[in-house]
Amino acid sequence: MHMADALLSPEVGGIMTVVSAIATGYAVKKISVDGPDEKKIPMMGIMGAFVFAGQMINFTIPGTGSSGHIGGGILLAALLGPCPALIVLASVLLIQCLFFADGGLLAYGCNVFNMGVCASLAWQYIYRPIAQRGLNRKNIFIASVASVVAGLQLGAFFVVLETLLSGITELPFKSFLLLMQPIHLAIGLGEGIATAAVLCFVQSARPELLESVLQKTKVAGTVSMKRLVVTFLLLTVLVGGGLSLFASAYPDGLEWSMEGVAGTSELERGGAVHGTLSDVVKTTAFMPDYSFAGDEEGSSLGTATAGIVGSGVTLALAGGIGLALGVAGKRRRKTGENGQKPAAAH
Amino acid sequence: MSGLYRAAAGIDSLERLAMGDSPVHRLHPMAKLAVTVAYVAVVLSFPSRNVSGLMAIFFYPAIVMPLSGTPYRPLLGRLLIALPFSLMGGLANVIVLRGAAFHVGGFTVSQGMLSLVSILLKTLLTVLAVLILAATTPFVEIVHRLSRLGVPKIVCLQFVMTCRYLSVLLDEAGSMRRAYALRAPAQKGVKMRDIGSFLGQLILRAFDRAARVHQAMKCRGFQGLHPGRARGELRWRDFLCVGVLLSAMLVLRFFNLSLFFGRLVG
Repeated sequence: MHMADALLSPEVGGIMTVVSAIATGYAVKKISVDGPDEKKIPMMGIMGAFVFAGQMINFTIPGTGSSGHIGGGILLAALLGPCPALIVLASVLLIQCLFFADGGLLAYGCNVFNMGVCASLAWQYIYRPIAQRGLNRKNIFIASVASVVAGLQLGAFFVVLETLLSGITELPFKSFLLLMQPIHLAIGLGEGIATAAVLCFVQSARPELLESVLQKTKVAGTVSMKRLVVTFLLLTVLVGGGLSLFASAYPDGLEWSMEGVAGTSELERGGAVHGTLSDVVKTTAFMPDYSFAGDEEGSSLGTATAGIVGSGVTLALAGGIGLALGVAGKRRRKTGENGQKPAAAH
Repeated sequence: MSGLYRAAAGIDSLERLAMGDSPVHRLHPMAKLAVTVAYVAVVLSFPSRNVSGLMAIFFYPAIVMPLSGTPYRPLLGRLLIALPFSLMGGLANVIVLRGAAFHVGGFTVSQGMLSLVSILLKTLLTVLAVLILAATTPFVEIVHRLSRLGVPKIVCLQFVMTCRYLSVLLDEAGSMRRAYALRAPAQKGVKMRDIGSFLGQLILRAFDRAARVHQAMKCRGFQGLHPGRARGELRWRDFLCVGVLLSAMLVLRFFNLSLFFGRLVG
């Protein structure tokens, strides 16, 4: 589910970074209110390592811009609580981004939201109400599977939304969604069962662990069924509303690209079509961009050819400078080593 | 298991690179962080049809990588992780956007192909930029700067702890795996039926071990973040570097150098 940078626009990346920062800030505040639990710090560290290791087992989902693997959010939330879970996941994602290029730097906010915030919400609204009825095997199993599936579905939905709002890829919304959701349903079922198995063992070996997390996050009394239903209804309306908003927004994007497609073929004819097209380009483009596409008149060499030749020259120049620097660096290091050797021998 | 050990070794080798010395290493971590974030943002802000403009942005990795002595080999593995997704998104564009973008010598390049090339280039450039940051700046220092920037201490602590405790976890997992193999010598791997209790046991054992390690660290005066290699404040050199790089990026973002060269040649 890690999103890479290349399919993301800076605006979406920036907004999601702010959203995730606010969510993480809230989590930090909650923990501080709970009191600095000394014992929790090593537990959070080791669970971070655990989820990191679990996420290394990674498989690509064909046809989408994403990967499938264990999210680990519900396991974290069940063992540590939802707020520490979010912080742990954020740290795992940063390490993956920096050391393995798994998930982009600007996509970091998106990834924290899709995997961390969504899982914490699923824990809060699905796992907890079920588990609070008593931590027996059956309840743990139902709670784990349901919350993992819901969290992954929500996360996958946001992956689709963020990718399409970025407008880099032209994947149709429906087919993208139809690819992502079922695959994450399968992953969610697998991960849910695995999570349930681990939690059942932990419950039988050290019952106070899961209990204490539930106790700590307890809001006065148990959650009423009515409140739960209302929350879900609200959530459905919100998601549905967002969906329909998006559904109406998407044809515009498609229309625009269709216009671009049709426009280039009619460019030679000039006249009114050309005029409106250039108007469209003028209003939509941030700056008149000198891309490969463009007018063929104006210079002795077509813009397209100029672009290609120029790209070659630029790359050669950049590569040449890089190569020269590399050779120079190697030579300097070599002389440096030779120069230092006698000194080091003392 | 071997994959996990390789992952740990990957972190280790990058960290060792980051401990090196070069003009890039000597720059302030904050400066490098700012430049990397700005660079990724600039790369992503290019419209997908503007491939020639994107080419000029190659100057940054082409100059900084040899200058910092960053090897190209880790790039391959990183691209393997990042590329499949971009490739899929890009291929979809090839299918959807079939209109001609331009013609070159009888060969028609469609808009979809153009956007595929731009997506692949963007992937390469963003992965390169993050690799340069990771290979020239120790992780602890990045976290230090983040904490200076106001990121809460518990979050920063978590960043460092996750990295450090990976070896603790691998240790425990290794010994449990060995014990399991000795009890079931004829069997390959852990049985599906035992996975739950195996992992649960691993978590509980690792919890206890981590708590002991943490106590030992506290006994020796650990108070949160390690001071690391103390780096001073931002110097004029850092400001100059950031200023030059940022303005160069902005210029190249809006002035198409490739097209300029192309016209010169023509």
